[in-house]
Amino acid sequence: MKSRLTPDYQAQLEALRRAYGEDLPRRVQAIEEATAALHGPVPRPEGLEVAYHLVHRLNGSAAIYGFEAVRRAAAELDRILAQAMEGRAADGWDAKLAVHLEELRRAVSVTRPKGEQG
Amino acid sequence: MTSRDLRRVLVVEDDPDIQAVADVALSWIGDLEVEVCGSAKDALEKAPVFRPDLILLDVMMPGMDGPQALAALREIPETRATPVVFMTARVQAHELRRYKELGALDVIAKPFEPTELAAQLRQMWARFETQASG
Repeated sequence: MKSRLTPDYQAQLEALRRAYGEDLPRRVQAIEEATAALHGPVPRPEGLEVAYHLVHRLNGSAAIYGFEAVRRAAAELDRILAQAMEGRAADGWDAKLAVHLEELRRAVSVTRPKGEQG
Repeated sequence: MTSRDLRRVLVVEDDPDIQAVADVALSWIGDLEVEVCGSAKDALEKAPVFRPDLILLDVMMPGMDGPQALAALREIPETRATPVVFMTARVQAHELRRYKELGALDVIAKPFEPTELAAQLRQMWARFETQASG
């Protein structure tokens, strides 16, 4: 079947993509706040589920909207937090979490107009 | 007997961002009639009324998940035979086998390409119609 991607539909998708990109800093901040509550040798269960679902959603949607670098960082965070949820948190998991959080921040910063990059 | 075209799709997805792009992909680009549900509970209420040709069902949702929703849809007379396509990032071979064993027609892997989503569902629907009429 031929694509029906007319300029109107392209504009609609691009508008969704722009809105998604503009919301990324807020999503990252929410993830940072959720993961800040987890630090320690053993992740605290009450915060894990919140952090995991925030990251999992970002992992699931970022690539659909074309933010591949964001997805890559979110995928690593997803993997680390999923292991923690299953009681399989690896040694040094919080240090790895910090590394991939920084990657996520960097990936999101390049999606913003130059004047707004932190 | 001429097989029917795919016309109505129920999308069950808890993530509003994926709901939005799936809606554009299927209704605007794919020219399908689309109803979007944010939860399995919502889907179980709307599906018997909307009577979709096909249900696109997210696997991982809070509360009732996709496989549980599929089992529940099979208990409703109006949706007992409605083909269900799972949507998930978990697409390893053993997971795909499990989804088929649960009764899914097929699986759409996340991330999906919005401009190709409708075409993918139409191909799956055509296969379903062929099997149903064969």
